[in-house]
Amino acid sequence: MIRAYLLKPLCLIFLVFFSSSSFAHKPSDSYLNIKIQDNKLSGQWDIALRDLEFAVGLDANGDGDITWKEVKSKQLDISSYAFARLQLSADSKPCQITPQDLLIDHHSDGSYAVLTFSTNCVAKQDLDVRYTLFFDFDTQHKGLIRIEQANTVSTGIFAAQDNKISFNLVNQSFFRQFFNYVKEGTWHIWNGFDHVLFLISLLLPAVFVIQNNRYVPVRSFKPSLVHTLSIVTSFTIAHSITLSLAALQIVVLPSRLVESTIAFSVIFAAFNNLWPFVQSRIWLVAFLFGLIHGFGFASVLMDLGLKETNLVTCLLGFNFGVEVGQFIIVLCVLPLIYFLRNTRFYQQLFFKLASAMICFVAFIWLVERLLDWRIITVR
Amino acid sequence: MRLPFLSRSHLALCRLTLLSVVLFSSIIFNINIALAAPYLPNKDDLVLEHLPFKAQDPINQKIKTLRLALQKNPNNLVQAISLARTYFSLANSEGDPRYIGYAHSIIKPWTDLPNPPIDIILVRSLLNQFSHDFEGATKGFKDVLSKDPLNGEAISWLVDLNIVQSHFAEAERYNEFFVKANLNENKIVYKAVIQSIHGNTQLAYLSLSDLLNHTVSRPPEFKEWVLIRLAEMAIRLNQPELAEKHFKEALAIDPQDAYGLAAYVDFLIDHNRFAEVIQPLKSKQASDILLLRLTQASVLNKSADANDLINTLQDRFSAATLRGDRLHLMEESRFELKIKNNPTKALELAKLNWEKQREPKDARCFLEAALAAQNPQGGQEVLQWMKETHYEDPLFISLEQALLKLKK
Repeated sequence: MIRAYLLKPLCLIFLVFFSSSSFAHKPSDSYLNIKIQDNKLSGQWDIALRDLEFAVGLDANGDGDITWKEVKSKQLDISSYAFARLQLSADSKPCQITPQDLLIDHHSDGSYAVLTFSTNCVAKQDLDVRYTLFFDFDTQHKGLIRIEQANTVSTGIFAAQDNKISFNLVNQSFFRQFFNYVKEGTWHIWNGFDHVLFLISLLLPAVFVIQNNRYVPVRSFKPSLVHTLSIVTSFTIAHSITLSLAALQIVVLPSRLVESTIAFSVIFAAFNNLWPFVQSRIWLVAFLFGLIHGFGFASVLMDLGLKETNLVTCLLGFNFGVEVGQFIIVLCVLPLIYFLRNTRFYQQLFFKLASAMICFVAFIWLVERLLDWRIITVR
Repeated sequence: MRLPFLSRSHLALCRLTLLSVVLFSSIIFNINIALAAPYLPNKDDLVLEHLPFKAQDPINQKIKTLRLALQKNPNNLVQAISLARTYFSLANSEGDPRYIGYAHSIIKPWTDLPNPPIDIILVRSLLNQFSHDFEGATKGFKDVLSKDPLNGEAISWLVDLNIVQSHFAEAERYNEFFVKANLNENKIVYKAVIQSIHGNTQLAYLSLSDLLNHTVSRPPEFKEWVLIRLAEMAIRLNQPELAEKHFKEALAIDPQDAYGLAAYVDFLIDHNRFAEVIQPLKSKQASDILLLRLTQASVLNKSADANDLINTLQDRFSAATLRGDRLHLMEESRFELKIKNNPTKALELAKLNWEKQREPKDARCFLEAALAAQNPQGGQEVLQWMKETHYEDPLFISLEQALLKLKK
């Protein structure tokens, strides 16, 4: 008897487990969007009709379908239920929320009631939000809050154990976020030896002109400057395009291909110094390989945890940081090699030796990246 | 040296173009992630939502009765457990995790206690495994066993959870517990499942079909479950006709079984029979898992609504990411690989998934992503797993060989 009795629930368990481990769809979420404009606070709150049905009861005739009429007739119940479970206080003063319209929207898991509201509060410093919607009967429910200010967006998640969030409105300033990314961008140029070596390889011959198949030092600074400017500008434009495309996930390339091509670009540039097969239009070389370097930058940006919400800030900041890093390299290298350009040390030794060494190191990178080996640890 | 001269105005123009490219692409992107515009419906009788049940449906009545009883007597443990279990089974049949949250809050007065009753621990563990909290669930089931060593339900779950994570020694250890609990049939089934992953599929298949032939009195759910396992083993034995026969027998018993259905449509997709996938899955879009398969088949079949399905699925995954819990990494990986053609991301997700779940289907997803990303190193963990388990499946062998070829 016991065996038979136990076996039935047990077989059910098999089914249940295998179905449960992977067949779930979306859990209950609400989306609370708050907008702060001229310090004034207003918002929109999307709440699933499925959840409101449980809390307030919407299906008046019990036929299993929720119609617009049924939702409309419960407007007052819905908004008093919801807003009783949301407390906002700005700069330590409680806000009074005034419900406005009731609209409908569709999310990936069904229809939502959209409650718009205005408030009487002025938020300059900080905003404290206490959110307790549905936690009493659904411990898995989450409230996804998004606060939009002039140029920035902050986000947060409310859960049953975590129903209070304080937002510091000053800290979230556009400039703070922007400069964080500028710093990261600059830092990356310095840490990413391959980008530095590519740029240096292109810069080394900037103090020469080619006459009768020979390198001749420039007489004045202007041609060097123009040469450098054309390289740096085309490199910048190219990598900015692909950095944006990759960060926005419009174009995605396999990282091994990107990394290997970057290594190849360094070999190409350094080798071209020793054996100048591309003599004019170096800027085109910088542009074409710049496209690939952009994908390399993007992978770093993605590793930083790019937030969809402040994508433009991140992207512009990071890109700007990369330019700053580049500029510093140019500023260090160009004057130095300009002053050394007439010396035998630079012409016969440094220029050739540096190019050859860069070529060698990049060749090892290329082998490593192509074959996924590890030869030298520094990269 | 001829050099193109870039005047200041050229430079400004270039920068401006760049800026507009960045801004324009961001705008396009933001529209994609932004919520669709809310609207005011213009018809009163517009149906906005279909609920899974009508008010008078027996299940609704049952829940209502239990809820009322609990309201009157909030300390009634038996009724709380009964209601929580009802919600748990609804979560499974409807695929809606809301019910898991409801169940959690029903048992909360007891789970908040320093020493919750054993039945509460059992239910909480069931709910935890649903939310893929394998560690919490395992701890709970062990706790139950330490107090009640013959608890068949806890034993089953512990064996299952360990198999899913490829902890086979643990799975086998707990499988022995069935003997004392007088549940030998369970031991046979799980033993066959483990055997089949370890390269003894022929033996496993024979022992399972033997069990099926000699068990007349088993409930149909048991038969259905064994038949699905037999179908999977037949695939591994490269006997597609036999597999299809078992799938059909199983789904005739329970056409709603989402696991069986998913396994069957995977089989159909592998045999390029896309049209046969679409019809039965049309009404099953609530489940992410079945929606993924429907989308994949629709894309391969070049169906008109393929794009809509892709968007819905993408929205589901984005919402999960936004929420902070990505329960379906394997499916997301498969989505990136098979539908969005993004092997790099697919591999990343498959790798993350492998940290948690190590069933043959997870392994396959991982191998396929590594192969598509042309990254033999990426699939190393699975190759190691195959070596350790001696897993046999012609598809896996060919994937392994393709990966090894890449390495050379």
